[in-house]
Amino acid sequence: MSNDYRDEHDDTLDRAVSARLAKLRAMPVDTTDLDRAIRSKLPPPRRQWPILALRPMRAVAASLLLVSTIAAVIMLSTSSGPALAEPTQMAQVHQDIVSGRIPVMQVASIAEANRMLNSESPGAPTLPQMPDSHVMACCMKSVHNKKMACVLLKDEGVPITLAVARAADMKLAPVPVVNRNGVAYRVQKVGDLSMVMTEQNGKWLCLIGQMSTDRLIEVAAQVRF
Amino acid sequence: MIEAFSDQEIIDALNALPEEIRWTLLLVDVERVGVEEAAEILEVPGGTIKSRAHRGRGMLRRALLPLARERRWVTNDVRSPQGTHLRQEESHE
Repeated sequence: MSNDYRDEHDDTLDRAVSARLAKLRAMPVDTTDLDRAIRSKLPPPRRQWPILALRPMRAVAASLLLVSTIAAVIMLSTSSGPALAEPTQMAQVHQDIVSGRIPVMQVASIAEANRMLNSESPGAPTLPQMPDSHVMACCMKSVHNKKMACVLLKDEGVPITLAVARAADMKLAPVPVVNRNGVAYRVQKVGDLSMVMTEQNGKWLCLIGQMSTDRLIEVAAQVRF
Repeated sequence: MIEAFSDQEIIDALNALPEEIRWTLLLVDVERVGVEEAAEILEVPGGTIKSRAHRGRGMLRRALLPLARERRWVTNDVRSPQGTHLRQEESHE
């Protein structure tokens, strides 16, 4: 098989796979507004500077200016824009809490967890209501400098971490969406951990646990603001 | 041929891919975000997005191939270029 033929065939295969993936947007996997959300958060495209046309000194000055502008944009975006919580990062948070690698406060109810978190970190995101029998411990964590209130729950003996942040602080991960009772849950697997993310009442929620995605969605459905 | 797989089968295959590949395919192919935008979101060069997308599509095809064989949609003889969109690839990546 010649290289030309192979390249052309690879392109055909690529296009077929790409077209099939595009159809995932049409199933319960409805991520149509994600694109809009991402676009609205992105800075406008940078202008192409005609650097090659400039004299060397000007080119150096322009490069320095460009570097400082990019640095400023990066600093600005990391400090004020919404953060994307990578699934591996959230899985690590869960494992750290469950294994006791980070200090947590033992609590018996969501109300107690909210009191403790607010005294430790005033203005902490408020945890939603959950059945108190589930509640075990809580702590504050941050992802890209965005505060997250975390509470360790137990569902039939299996630990679940519920992380809550302001919806304006966090981007929803571009992963498949499952709709249940009118609520869109973004589902993800990291190793043997399932992860469910959603937004409700201006809050970003992420539940992580070693259980089926369906069961995790059922737990997420118990969240009440 | 790839059209014959269910959405859930495609999603399962996607979920089995390495994270950086999966995110690239979700942005570029599912969400149809442009290469440059995907590059900004994932904080990698545009060339990396293109190569990840190409590699990822190949990985996805290979991930689905056993299922296609199980259903007798493809035969073990996968040399025919017209035969299938799930051609087994040599390990050239």
